[in-house]
Amino acid sequence: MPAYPALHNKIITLFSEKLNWEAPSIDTDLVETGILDSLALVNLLLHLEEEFGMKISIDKLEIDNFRCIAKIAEFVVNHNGAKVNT
Amino acid sequence: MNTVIETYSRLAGEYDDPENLNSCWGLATRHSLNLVTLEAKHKVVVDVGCGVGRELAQLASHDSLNAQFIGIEPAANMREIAMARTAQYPNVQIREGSFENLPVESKSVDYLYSILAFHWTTDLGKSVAELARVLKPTGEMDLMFIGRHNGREFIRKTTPVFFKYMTPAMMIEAALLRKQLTLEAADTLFRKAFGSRGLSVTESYHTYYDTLDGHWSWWVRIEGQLVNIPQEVRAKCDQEVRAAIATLVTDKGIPYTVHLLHVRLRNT
Repeated sequence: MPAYPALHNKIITLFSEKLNWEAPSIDTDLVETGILDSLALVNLLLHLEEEFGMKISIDKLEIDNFRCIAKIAEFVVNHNGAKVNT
Repeated sequence: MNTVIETYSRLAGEYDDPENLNSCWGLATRHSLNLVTLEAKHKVVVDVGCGVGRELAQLASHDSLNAQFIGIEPAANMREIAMARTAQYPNVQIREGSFENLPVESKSVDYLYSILAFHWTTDLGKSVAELARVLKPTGEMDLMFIGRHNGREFIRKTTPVFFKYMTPAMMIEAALLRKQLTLEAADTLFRKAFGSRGLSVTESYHTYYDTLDGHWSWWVRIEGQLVNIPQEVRAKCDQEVRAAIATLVTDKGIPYTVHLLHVRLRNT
């Protein structure tokens, strides 16, 4: 899995400031730990769109893309390519 | 048709069952009813989302102040029961409507209350504007509704199960059916419409313990949100959800914590 330390930090900050959740690690399973419920997912998508200028189509989303911060970073890179400072 | 209203209408006949009345929601309703404060100056009283009219009938039966009571409810079968229940009180009317479209004249209401209904609004801005429209300038209000952190124990346990059976799109669609605000968001929303004079927005947490079957008796009400789970896997999903909830058991039973928001407006 490629590492995106700067992007990880941005997403950790986003979780902390916008979703009031402190990340123990970038690999913590957000679904299994109950952090990412359906309302949190809605908020997360809104904030990802805002922070990274992405347009996310919810029809094609897969939950595995949001399992942990590392996965979310990959999702952002794959959907935003060069625009993201990794 | 709004799937939430449809589900409530379909389940209206079960609403007065002891299982429901003694469930955490029955207890939270009774707690909320205690926050409703009728006074002699309240001549026109409105209950928005009056359901089967249980609380409305209770208030009307104790009212010696000759107030006019108006119960507003969008679910047809709920309204029918409310009408039958309040038929003996000539000062009670039941009307079809919702927070987004209150069938009440502007500046006509002395006191408006709502118990555990506002989170079902489909349009927060429109609903708050409607509340501001119908209240007299001297009008008062108590709204009790669930907040963002409601049922955290259950959500933590059941979300992984739901993500197995529902796509993120389905989960998002379900989440958007209800408006669970944080204290801060509710405070901002209501202050924008009503200003700060006489307004307070507070939160409280109430943990209720019950058996698995006790909780399951109200769980059916969230069906409206889960309507998109394919029928062929629904039974399996239910089974896994029950198993997940069962892991929460303690000596007192299975806890469910209601996050209650209370918007209180007084003409001070």
